[in-house]
Amino acid sequence: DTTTTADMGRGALVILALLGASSALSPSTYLTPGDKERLKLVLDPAWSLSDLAQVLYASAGYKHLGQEIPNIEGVCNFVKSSATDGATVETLFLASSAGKALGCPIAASSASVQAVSDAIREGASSQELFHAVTAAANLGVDLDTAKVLRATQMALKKDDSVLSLGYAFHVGAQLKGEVGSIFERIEDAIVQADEVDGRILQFEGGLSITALVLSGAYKLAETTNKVPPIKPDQAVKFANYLMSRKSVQLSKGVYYLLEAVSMFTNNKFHVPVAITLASNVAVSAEAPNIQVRVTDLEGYSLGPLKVTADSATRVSDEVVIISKEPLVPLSAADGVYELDVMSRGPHRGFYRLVVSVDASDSRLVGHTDAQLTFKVLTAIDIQGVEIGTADSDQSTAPNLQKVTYPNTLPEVLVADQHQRVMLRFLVRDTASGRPTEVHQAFVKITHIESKREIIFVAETDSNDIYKFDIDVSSSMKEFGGVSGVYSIELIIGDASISNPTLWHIADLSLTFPESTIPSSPQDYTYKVRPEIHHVFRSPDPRPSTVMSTTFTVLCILPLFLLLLIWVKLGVNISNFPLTLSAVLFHIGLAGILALFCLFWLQLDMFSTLRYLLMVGIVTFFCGNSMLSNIATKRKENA
Amino acid sequence: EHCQQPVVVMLRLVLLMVCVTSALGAHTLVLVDTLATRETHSIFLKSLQERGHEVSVKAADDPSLQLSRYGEYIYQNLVILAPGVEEFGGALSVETIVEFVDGGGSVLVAGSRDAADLIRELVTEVGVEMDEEGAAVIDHLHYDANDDGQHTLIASPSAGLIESEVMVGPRDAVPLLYRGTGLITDADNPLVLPVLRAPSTAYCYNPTQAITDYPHATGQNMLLVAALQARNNARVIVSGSLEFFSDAFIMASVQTPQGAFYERSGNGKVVEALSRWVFMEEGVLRVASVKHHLQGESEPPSAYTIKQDVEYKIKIERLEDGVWKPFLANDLQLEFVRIDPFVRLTMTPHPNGVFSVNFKVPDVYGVYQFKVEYNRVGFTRLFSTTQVSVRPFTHRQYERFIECAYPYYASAFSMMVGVFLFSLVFLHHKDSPPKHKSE
Repeated sequence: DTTTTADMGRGALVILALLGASSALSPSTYLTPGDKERLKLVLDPAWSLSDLAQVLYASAGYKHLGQEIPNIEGVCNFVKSSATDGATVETLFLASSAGKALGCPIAASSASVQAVSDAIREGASSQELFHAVTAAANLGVDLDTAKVLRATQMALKKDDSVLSLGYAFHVGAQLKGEVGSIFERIEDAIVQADEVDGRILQFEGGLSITALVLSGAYKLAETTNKVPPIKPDQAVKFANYLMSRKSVQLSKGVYYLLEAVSMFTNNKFHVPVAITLASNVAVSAEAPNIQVRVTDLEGYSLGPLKVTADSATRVSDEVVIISKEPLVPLSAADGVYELDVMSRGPHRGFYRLVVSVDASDSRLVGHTDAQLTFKVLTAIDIQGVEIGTADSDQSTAPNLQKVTYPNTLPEVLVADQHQRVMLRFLVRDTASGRPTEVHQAFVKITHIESKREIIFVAETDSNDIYKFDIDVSSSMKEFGGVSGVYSIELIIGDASISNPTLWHIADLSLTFPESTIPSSPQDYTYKVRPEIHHVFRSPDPRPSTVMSTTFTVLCILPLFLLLLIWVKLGVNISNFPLTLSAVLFHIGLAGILALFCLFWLQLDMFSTLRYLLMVGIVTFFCGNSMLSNIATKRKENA
Repeated sequence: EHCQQPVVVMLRLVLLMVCVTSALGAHTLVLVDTLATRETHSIFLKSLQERGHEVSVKAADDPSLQLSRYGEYIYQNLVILAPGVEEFGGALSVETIVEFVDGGGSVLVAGSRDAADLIRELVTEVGVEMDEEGAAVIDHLHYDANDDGQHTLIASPSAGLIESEVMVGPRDAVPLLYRGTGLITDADNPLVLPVLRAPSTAYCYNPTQAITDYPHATGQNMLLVAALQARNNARVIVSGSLEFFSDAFIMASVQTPQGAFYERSGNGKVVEALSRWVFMEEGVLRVASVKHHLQGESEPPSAYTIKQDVEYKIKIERLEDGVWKPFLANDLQLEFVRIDPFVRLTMTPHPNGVFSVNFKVPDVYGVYQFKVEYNRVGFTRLFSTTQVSVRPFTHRQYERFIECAYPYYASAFSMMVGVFLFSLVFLHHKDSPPKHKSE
């Protein structure tokens, strides 16, 4: 728990610090031309004339923005055609208000006058009353102030929310006579505003409620001619809130924002002053003046004013370079005042400028202690640049060569793992002529082939000389052990120098020992892999046809030899017994041999066995019978 | 009845259209620090709505937040534009968001210089580290003219964008505006993609403090926008800048210190493209069908035999504007794998999205897979395997009547003929009368 409170404490500190840095209580922005253009774009879709409320928001918004409404006749006709007999009070309110904003007031028919008068009754909500009263005022209908007041009081009794109060203020602002009873309620509303960060006041419910209450309160105060119970700093905080909502994207929000902003630029009590920088945030010898714009929230000049720079303080060391200096009005631009800063000989850096406006007009609020930040730029140059290599064991003196900006060392430096690469330089402020430190003094070493870059930070020694020194062998990891040509570039940068520099100083050929290169397997993630074609096993080598034919002939030759010799010997088969068994035996034997051939050519094992069985049995019995016949015959002959 | 039919057809058409649009209508939850973010980032949010997202914008500490109900996700996409949130409201936490990503959900997170620990913890879960609190990306050579003086409004050259049209749209030369913290990723993590690299001269440090330690992120090793496509194809985008997505930056002009001027920053196009990518509207592939068979046939056999010629076809489709259309690429590869790939070939694309390849089955039998794995930057990972068995030749499929075996054939036949003749002669030979001998 202690840690969390500590964290929260730190968080609060950070927030406080940020607030301190951002600005004191004074609107730090106004509706710039860009903002106005964007707000206009938000309103533009209304000109398709499909929604009366949008048309009202756009017409009123355009009026505030000083824009010309396109096709104004068509818009007027659309508004007039909306306010027909039988239209609701809300429609009448929208149509009559839009008509007023467009400059084509719509005529009141007796039916609409009747409808409006009827709507002002006890029991109506303050919003309904606001619609009815506004419609009545726009249509030129006379109202009974006492009756409206009674109804308003009733409505507030029923619902005293901020929104309801806001509508009541607008009702009161349009009444003639004594409306003090509503005016007294302004304070009730204002105390309900929430404060954010100590610089913003807003009502829960956002822009439309805040803007509605504010414009209502000030209008009511103007009607009653009494100062509203809103303190000047509260007015400034409300103004800050409105400015923080410049980005609103709904046409309704734009309408309310512009209503409230224009009220804040033109009322009898409080006009918040926006003090902003008109010039670039940077001041340098070429542009020595700081320009301050003093305007109202809409960006319009507040007339000739006496603008004073209370102080200008360097942020880093609180050195004050200016105190109580008047700013000179710029003749070319209204509401812009300037001050020559560079004539004070400021050091480069960030400065806090506190500006106050002497207000002859008592309505102005938020015009003192406006904090602005500017920076003083000076040019730097890089001097005494020496680059080279040295042996790691410091056995020999380093071999350093001088280079001047913006040249590149003509020869390529060569270093291996036994050496160091060294770079020395001095950054000099050309304004003061003294060495200076910059925020960014980096040495970027890029492998030219792979574009892989390694960045080192150069550090200063006691003499403000920047040094960069790497031992090649110990920084092998950073380089990934990749040998090759690297380019050495120096980056000098700072927010307060006018010439940040990227300088290619030299090329460096690094050699790392081959064995140290880690052989990582090739990574094919997201890449096309190499194709693989299967290598089929090649068939065994075979003897040539001549060889096989020769041996085939040789194999068949004995058979022919046998036949030849038999013929010579006069072999015969005259003893062949002409019996069935003998004939069948020999046919069977031939059949078996033929079966073997068939087996080789096409039959499978089982069918072969089946046929063999059939032929075999016959052959066996026939053979048996034939052989016994032959044996008997031989016995007989013997 | 005839009159009613067109009505029925119409009704069906309407139903169909409803189905199609609801398929597009992803539910997107946008978490913000303050509801004003809805206004400062309206262009981004509006583009989501225009693309059919059901966008609900809620405060990040809204106590009613939940991503899933009854075990089902109510949102497909989560946008966290709330760098300042200390603790999520409702049922939301870093764990539930990580589970959401595990469940295939898409997340877009934007940080800032002062991003709360919660956001840092969340992005660490997806492999991205935000630099420490207060550190801002600084570049003294690439800043915009509207910078407040510290050179933290970076005009990042578009050359730092990842080379993937699917992710960041067509490339142009317009710089991108960025103000925020730097991102550090592990270069060896292939799932984290560097969408936008910082310029070489940039670094991340507290602009108001002198550099005493080496900055955590420098140059091109520092990312401004990082993306994760997890193994389940869930996508996450992390940016160190909330303003990168803001109307102000999208509508802003850019003026570089070198004097180049651009009417509009490049943010608009890139934000649009990135959000299309992260919310699965771009770069989504699927396998529509797989076919394989012997060449000249149309149905697959029960098993392939070694050395057969086989044809493999795969149809791949790509989601374009909510419709599946044929995919074309010339780097899709088929592997024929038995533990290791035996064959890997690039397939020929056809205009109808079918990729085909012909090859000869290897002469090693076993159980193989046809495997198509397509993993390219920006696209969902495509993976398809089909298992087939490859058997050796049957005894009849070997070669017959080999020439060099003729001596064997010949000797066998001559032996058979010899046996037949010899048995005939041996059994039935009649000696000539012996008288001849006595003569």
